[in-house]
Amino acid sequence: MHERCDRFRIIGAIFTAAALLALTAGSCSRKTPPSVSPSQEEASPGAKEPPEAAELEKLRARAAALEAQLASLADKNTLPAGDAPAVLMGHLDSLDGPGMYTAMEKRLLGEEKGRRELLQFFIACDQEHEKILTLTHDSRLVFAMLRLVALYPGETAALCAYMIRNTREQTGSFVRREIYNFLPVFLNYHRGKYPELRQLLKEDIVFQLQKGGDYLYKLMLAMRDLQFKPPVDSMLPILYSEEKRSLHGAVLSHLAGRGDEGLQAIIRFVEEGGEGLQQSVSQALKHIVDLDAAGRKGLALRFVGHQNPVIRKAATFYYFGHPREPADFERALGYLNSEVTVAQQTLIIGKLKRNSPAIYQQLIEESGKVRAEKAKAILEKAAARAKKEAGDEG
Amino acid sequence: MRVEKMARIRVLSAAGLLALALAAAFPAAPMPSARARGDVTGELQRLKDRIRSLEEAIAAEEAKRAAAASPSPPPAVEEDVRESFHTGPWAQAEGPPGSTSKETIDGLLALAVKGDGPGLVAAIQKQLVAGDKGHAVLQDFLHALDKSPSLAKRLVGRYDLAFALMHLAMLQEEGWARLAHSYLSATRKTTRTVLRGYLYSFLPVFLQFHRGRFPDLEEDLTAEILQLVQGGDKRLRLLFTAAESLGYFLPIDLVEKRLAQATDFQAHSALLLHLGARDDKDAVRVLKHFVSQNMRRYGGAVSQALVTLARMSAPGVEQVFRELTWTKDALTYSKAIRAYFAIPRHEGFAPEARRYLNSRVSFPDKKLFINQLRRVNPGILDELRQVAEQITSDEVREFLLK
Repeated sequence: MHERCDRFRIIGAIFTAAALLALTAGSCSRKTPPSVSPSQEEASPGAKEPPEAAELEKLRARAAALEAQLASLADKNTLPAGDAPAVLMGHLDSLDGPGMYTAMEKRLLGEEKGRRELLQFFIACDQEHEKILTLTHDSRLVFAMLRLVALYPGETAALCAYMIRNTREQTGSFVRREIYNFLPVFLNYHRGKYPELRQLLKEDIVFQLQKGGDYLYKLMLAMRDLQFKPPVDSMLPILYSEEKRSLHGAVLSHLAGRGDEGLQAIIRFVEEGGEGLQQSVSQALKHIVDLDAAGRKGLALRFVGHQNPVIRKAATFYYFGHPREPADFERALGYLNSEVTVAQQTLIIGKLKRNSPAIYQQLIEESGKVRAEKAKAILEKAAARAKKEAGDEG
Repeated sequence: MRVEKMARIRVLSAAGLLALALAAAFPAAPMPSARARGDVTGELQRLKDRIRSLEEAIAAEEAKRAAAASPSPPPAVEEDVRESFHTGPWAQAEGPPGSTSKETIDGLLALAVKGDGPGLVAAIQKQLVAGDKGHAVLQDFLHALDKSPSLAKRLVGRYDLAFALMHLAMLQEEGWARLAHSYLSATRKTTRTVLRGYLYSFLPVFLQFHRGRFPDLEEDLTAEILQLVQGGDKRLRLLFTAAESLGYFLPIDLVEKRLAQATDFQAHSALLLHLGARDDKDAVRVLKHFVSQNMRRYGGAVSQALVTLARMSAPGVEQVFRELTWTKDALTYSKAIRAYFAIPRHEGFAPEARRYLNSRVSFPDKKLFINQLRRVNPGILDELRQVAEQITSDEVREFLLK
């Protein structure tokens, strides 16, 4: 947007300058009769020079002063934001719904210039965060904007397209957040009336995902509302970025719901994700094991027997989150005897008790095989309790 | 910040280009050479022309600037001021529900069940333009929704449906106002329907935007609000917000009475917020009375009342705080000071803050106060730090300087 604005302003300035140049060049070349009187013409050069020189100096000084004055005025009058945002901001500050409606309506119907002014206003509000919150939450102002949306859907669509195109690089802008909030609902309401805008929004979603996925949650809601599944590859820059760790959960959940293509991406991530992404790899393994349990049999085994011990342990931990056959006893025992934390030992015993009672029972009976002290103690305690209960019943 | 900078760069570049163009066109004051001397007359003429063109350009720029400095005041509401639309006769005339066929109502309800917003809007619009008969159908539809509160909640609770239904109020303003007014009249005796709750949230905003265009509806709604508050309705926040949106303030005696009767946080909060919105002499009097009567009874509400007072600009507020901050009662003093500094104050108030820190109020209270200054009045905190030696307690001073 700024680039465009810049271009417009520069074009404007060039026009001003060119107009002045043409004007002055015209005046220079104009063949006008001299304004001096015949009596002056007759006077001798020696007598004429002092007054002419003085007048020349005077005129030059005057011209210089005027130039300075003009430059100053032009400078003041070419403020980039113009008055549009100021007028709109005035209505916002006074929470004047009808005033805001009228001011926005004028600009909404004002083609590119109006759209530019509206976007400038939104960006100005965004810079003073309180203002964008007021604009998007105060009922009086929201009512005014919704009325415009209802009465001028075509112009609204054009404004949205303009805003999408001109804020692409401002990924963290609140304006974008509102676009993802509003536009899918708007497009769905108008049922295919604005196919180009829908397509633009989809392309923008892909672009934003590739850029790092600011407002990922909103992007995902927009994807859901548009019933749009972006290419799996577009999600990967987020997934492979250590800085975007907090977004990995959402991306992995999305990929897990994307069938084979998504699953392959998750598997690749498990294999390729380095140490810095260990936590996310672990989350990915949970999805793989869950998919295995949901019907893709054999998928989890590849990872519970993985050569990388970190992957193997994480996969085994999630593996026992689902009911398992007694045949998996050795695997459970192996996990308890491997280098896992006490918390993980405790958790997996709990999981086995709930989901795989046969394995749990066998562990109790063969607790001597468990080397980990804490796990052994838990199992022995359980065995003693069971024995006592059996005795009580007897 | 970044855009501001860029904007400045843009201005500079525009001005720079202009200056460059001017400089290129008129190299300033060349010294008269022997060759130039012969062309003095031409030079004089050029300068005169130049001055004339500059004066014209300046006049144009000044005109532009003057127009910008005094922009035409934004239209008060809309330029096309529309006539009042009276919905009262319909609201009084429309009879009891029940004349519409079950099939028609079921058709509308099915759209709501399906969550088909555009379909529902189209169907309702069709009825709205059908005149009295269509309105009767819609009234029956609304009453049918009343019998299915979960469906009614769904209509407004789902944002896609709410967005769709919003179009009705925007595209069919008069029909919608008539529909709403008739529904409010017909359900006056059963004021607790789900749809009424939503109407109470939306109608005031609608009427506020169309101020004066639907006088009957406005009048009936304000009358109903008064009646409900008088009748002891507990939805005070909803009712007061609606009234304030309509620019209507309930009689102060009634507000005072409800405040005296209030026992729970929600009621206190709604009444105190309303008094804050009134921001007049009466509100100050009621708040002051409430504070003095309930200091030890409703501590939380008293704190809110004091902050409400501190935010107000009505005459008498400063006097109230003067009284409350020159008291021997430590609790009152503490609450009043904390409320007073809960809003940004200029550095001139630093002595008042220092007096509090040197008072006999407990250290934990002073710590809370200093933390509050950190958040709300950092300027005063800086001021106090500069005169930290004037703080008598070591531990308070230490905490202040931390």
